[in-house]
Amino acid sequence: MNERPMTKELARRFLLGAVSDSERQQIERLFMSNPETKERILIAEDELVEEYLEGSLSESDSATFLEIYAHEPRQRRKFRIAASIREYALLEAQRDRARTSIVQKLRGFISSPWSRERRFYIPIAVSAVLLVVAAMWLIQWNNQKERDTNLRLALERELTELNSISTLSKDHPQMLAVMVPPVSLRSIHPPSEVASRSAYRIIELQLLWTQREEPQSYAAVLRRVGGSEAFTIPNLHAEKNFAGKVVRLRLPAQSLARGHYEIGLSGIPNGPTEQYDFAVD
Amino acid sequence: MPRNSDFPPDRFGDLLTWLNSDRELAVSVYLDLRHSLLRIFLWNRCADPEGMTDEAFDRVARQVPRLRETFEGNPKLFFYGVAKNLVREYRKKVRSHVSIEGIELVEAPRQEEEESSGKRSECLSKCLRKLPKDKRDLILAYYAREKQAKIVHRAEMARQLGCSIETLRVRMLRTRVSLEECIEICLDERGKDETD
Repeated sequence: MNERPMTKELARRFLLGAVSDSERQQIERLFMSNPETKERILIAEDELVEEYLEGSLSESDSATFLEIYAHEPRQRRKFRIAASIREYALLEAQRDRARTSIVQKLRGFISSPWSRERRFYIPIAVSAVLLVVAAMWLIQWNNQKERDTNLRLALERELTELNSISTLSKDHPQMLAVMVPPVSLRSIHPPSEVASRSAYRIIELQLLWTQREEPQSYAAVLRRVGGSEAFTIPNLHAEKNFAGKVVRLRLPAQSLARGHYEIGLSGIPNGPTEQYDFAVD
Repeated sequence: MPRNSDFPPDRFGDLLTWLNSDRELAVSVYLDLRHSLLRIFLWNRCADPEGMTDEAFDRVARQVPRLRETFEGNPKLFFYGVAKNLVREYRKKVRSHVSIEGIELVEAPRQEEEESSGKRSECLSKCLRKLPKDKRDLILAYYAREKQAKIVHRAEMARQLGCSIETLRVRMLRTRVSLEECIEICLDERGKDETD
């Protein structure tokens, strides 16, 4: 690679591991020795973190991102700090907007000539009460949003840790293992049932991989049917057992509500995808 | 100084002198190098970027007497050469673990220091208060919008400050990095207080 300028696009491809080995080494050299390149790459990294937190990265980019930035405890800590700065700034801005809007409305009422007439007193009082109630509701809504974000981050962390190579190599005493064939093999039969969630702490799904390709690693995207949230679990690996090649995916049972779930399992990088589903009774 | 306790202070001093004869500048080069190496190991998906960064410094420091006589060029690139070797060795080790034992690919993660979000919020507030008011207001404003709205918002911020969007990004990056470092130090201190 000639020393071409470090564009945003190139920096992004580099950070998501989508450059050749020689390109990567050239960029790393520049990162070490050229302050301008270093800043450009760090800015691109900052933008990736933002896009991940906003949920606007594609599924495969999201999986690669987690594989790099959530595989090591100190990095997870740095990532949580970066996330909390953004959450704080967003909440502060929302509170500011709510405060400004209430104050402006009240000022408008008070300064208008008709507000001094008696017949407007009751509507003004009612409006003021409504505004206070709305402000309280907004603050509560903000707090709930903050709690939801924290819960989501905690669950993503738990999923990544449960499925790290070192954790997967150990058996868990309160674990239920279930073989799950892909939807394409199962035809019209109902999805696998994974029994009552109260009896086990961990549910291990053994996702049967029937494709010929053998990707280096896999990323699973888990979502509840009818739900809006999806969780990406990166850095999974296939292994052989009596049924063939399987990818093990462990889930915390207490986080699974009753219902149907779908899993998309993709080979990384650019591998094929298989779909799976299961039900929690 | 590196985390590695085997790193003798005089060797560290020699390393700093090799980086720059002015001690203040040498420390700033050292910190910059440390940050860059951590990132290189992270992007190469190494299991312990901090430990490998220490190892890189240790390897270079052991060669400083020879390097002073023979090495010409940018010391940062010498560090990069050492880092590349470490990544290569790490990958080889990981591969041999897979083929021979077929079990753990990476060393077991250390006991994760789980800080509560409450502690993190306290440290964040404390560190925000430490920032000069203009920087604090600026960074909070910079991250105050999401998705499409943030693009318009940041362009407007850059216009009001009379700089380009690129310059604004660089300024925010520097402020955020120092804020994150402050929060990390604060969390470490609180962790220590709890164990004492």
